[in-house]
Order: sequence, then structure tokens, then C-alpha cells
Amino acid sequence: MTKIMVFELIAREQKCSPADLTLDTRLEDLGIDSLRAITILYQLEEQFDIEVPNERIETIVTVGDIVTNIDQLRQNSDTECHDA
Amino acid sequence: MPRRVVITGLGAVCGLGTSVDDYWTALSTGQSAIRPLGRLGEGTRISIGAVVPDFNPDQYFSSAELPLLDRFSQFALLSAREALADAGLAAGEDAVTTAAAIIGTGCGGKQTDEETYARLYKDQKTRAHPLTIPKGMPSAAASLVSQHLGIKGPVFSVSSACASAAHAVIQGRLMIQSGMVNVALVGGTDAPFTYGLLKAWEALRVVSNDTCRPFCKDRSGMVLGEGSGMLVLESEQHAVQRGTRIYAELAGCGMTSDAGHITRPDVDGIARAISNALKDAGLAADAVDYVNAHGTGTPANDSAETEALHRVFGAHANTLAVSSTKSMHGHALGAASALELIATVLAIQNNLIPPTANFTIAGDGCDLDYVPNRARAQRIDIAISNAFAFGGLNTVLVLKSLQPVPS
Repeated sequence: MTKIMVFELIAREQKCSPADLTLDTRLEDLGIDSLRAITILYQLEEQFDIEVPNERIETIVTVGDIVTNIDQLRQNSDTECHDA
Repeated sequence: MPRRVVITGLGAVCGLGTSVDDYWTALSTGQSAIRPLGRLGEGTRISIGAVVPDFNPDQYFSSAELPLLDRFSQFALLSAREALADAGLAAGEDAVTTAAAIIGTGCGGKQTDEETYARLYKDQKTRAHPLTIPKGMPSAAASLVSQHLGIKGPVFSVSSACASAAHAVIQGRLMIQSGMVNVALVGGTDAPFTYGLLKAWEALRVVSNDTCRPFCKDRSGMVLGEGSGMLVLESEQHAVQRGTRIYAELAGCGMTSDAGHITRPDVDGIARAISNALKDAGLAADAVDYVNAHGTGTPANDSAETEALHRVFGAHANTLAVSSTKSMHGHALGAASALELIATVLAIQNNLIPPTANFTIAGDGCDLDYVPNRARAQRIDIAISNAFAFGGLNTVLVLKSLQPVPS
């Protein structure tokens, strides 16, 4: 689910097909610099109502890193909701 | 002896069109771009303005470029491209790579800022868009012009409200005179038709809902405009060496500050700026043929400007042609003095004085020849362009025709 949404968002931003992307695709190879990366993350934060901490952003290199981070943050957010 | 500085390229975007040709066609035929604002003015008491007509950014920029381009940067890029092409210069050549780009703005990227503030304050969202800073910062237009056109010399923005562009022009001229650069792209840009900014102007109670009628008895204030004007300045030697067309010499500049009231114009400050500019150009007051006035159409400006012209020019004031082209392109704030300098350049080039449009009858204390409603064919050897900003910041630019004097 997250993977599909991340792939679709990046494909839309990059004007390419989601089929052109894999989890191992490096953002740098797509021409996505740090400014564009945080713009993509901003849209995902809005979509999933999560907050990607600055220290995590520095570790994101591939499309898969975005998917993993979003999944983890969504799970944390779900847990926090259940705890509450 | 400082190097002589000439003007070799022009670019204009404003309510009168998206090219210098559109601009001059309208100015020379006395057409005004002031129209009802419609939806743009909703929720405000400002009902008219000079908006760039049918402006579609997709026509000029790719979808990859647009996310970083606030409307004020779009205007700057458009007029900068036109000015460079007009000067016969292309990105990549040495003259461009080593050039300066100094761009005035009174407002900066207000559209971007206001969209973010509306999200945060009004919609109670918790995140700002990550491009808010790079897109909205007042220097964004200068940086993006540099980036898109490959200008790698001194690049920055200048902000002094309604005199921003003139201060940018002066800065470029000083750089060329000093030998720091051979070419400088200078001008200004602003896009003030945003809800928050319109409300702020509304609150100042200086904006007319009739039209802009500079120097008239029934004048009721200024009318906002938007757009950008850019000029290519060049050392005369550089321009002659590359054999390009020269429009006119930028022969003198004057700058003063009132150190007085924050909004009320000061006759002494204005008069000193005009005198300084003429002294810088080495000209006597009676050499001036045409004054492109600041002429906002507010009661305070027009009488103060007229009084200052009397003070500097004495009896010669009565033979001056004085017009305010704001009556046609509106007050484009940080872009205004560039658009008006371009109007003055074209007046010299064509020996045709653009009129003060919407003119009815002269107001009290406004007793000069304001070239009412119809352009006038007249040889112009020397012209000045005035800009007097809120905050008491005054600029005057002197242009000299390089056309041979008819025998």
C-alpha cells in the first residue's frame, strides 16, 4: 500500500512510469536533489499525517528508504493512537 | 573620468502586455491597463488595478521550472530574457557570464508567503511547503534570473519600496563606471495582487477606486499594477566594440533620503535628488526636455513633485513636458521605476512623449504641462525619470539621447 503510493507520487513528480522504479532506485539517479526529496516527503507527510524527523531524512538514499521510513512512522503513529 | 554607461536592451511585462512592443504601442497611444479586478479584489475595497492580461505561466515555463517560480520571479525572468535578447546577448557568452544582475523588488514573493500563511493561520495546517523560503525570499527573482540566464557576476536584489528598480539601475551603473563589470542586467519586479497585500494597501487609504489621474483636480489616489521591467546597461566602449544598438546614455543619477516622514513626500528631498542627478550628468537644468514623473495620483505626491520641479527648474519648469505613465501601467511598486525608465528610453528613441492618461483638469498646485491624454511628437535630448519611495527614498535617473542633433 505505502509502496504503491510512494511509487505513484515519485512517478508523477518525475514524469515517468511507476514501472520504471524499484525499491533500490537511488533518488540521485532520478535527478532528485535534497530540495526535491523534502518536497516529496512533505507530500507524503500530508498524505499520511506523519512527521519525518530531520535525522531520518539524512539517511534516505533510495526509493525503498522512503517506503521503509513511511511504513515505520505509520506503524508508530498507529501504536501511539492505540496506546492513547 | 568614470566610464560612460549606455542602455542596449529592454524587457517589459505589465498590465499593458508581455513585451516592449506591446508596452510602447499602448503608451504611445495613451491606452490604460487599469481595469476592474473582479475576483482578485474579492473581500477587499480595492476594485481596480493593472493586471498582466491573460498571463499563462505554462506558456513561458516548463512544469519542472514552475514549482520554484513565484509570480514575481516569472515576471522578472520574462522581462530579463527579452532584455538580453534585445541587446543581442545570449546565455553562455562571456558578456553574460561575467555580467551583474541587480533586481529591485518592493514586495518579494508575496504570493508564496501568503499561501503558506493561509495554510498555517487559516486552514490550521501544521506544515509549511518546503519551497516557501527559496520561492518567496525577496532575492528569489535575482537568483532565478542568474540561474536561468547563466549570469555569474555580482547578483543580488535591492529593496526600497517604489524606488527599488531605480536603486538597482544606479547600482548597476556604479559597477560599470568603476570597471567592476562591463554589462549589468538591472530592473525590478513585483506581483502585489495578493489578498493580504491588497488588504494592507486598502488600510493605507491611498488607493483609488476611480482610476489613476495624476496631477488632476479629481485625482483620488494610486492604482496598483504588477509586472517587471529590465534593462541591459553596458559600458559605452563595450557596446561600441560589439557593434550593438545603443538606445541612450544613462548620463546621471541622484539619490537622497528625506530622513523625515515614513509616507509623506518631502519637496526638499525630491528637489535635492533631481539636482544631484543633473550635477552627476554635468547638465544645466534648462537642458532637460522631458520628465517622466513619479506621478502616483495621490494628493500628496503630485503637488510635492510639482513644487520640487519648480524649485529645481525655475522658469524652465514651464517649458518642461511632464507625464506620468502610471496612469497607464498602474503603480507596479518595485518594478515601477524600471518600467518608467523604459518608457523614458523609448520616448527618447522615438522622440515621442507618452501622455498622462485619464487627465481631466489640473489640480491645485499642479500647474505644469502634463501632456494630457495624447502623446506628443517632440525632439528629446535629455529626459529624467523620477521615483520617490515610501520611507523618503528618492531617486532620479538622467537619460541623454545619442541621436545626432538635426541640422
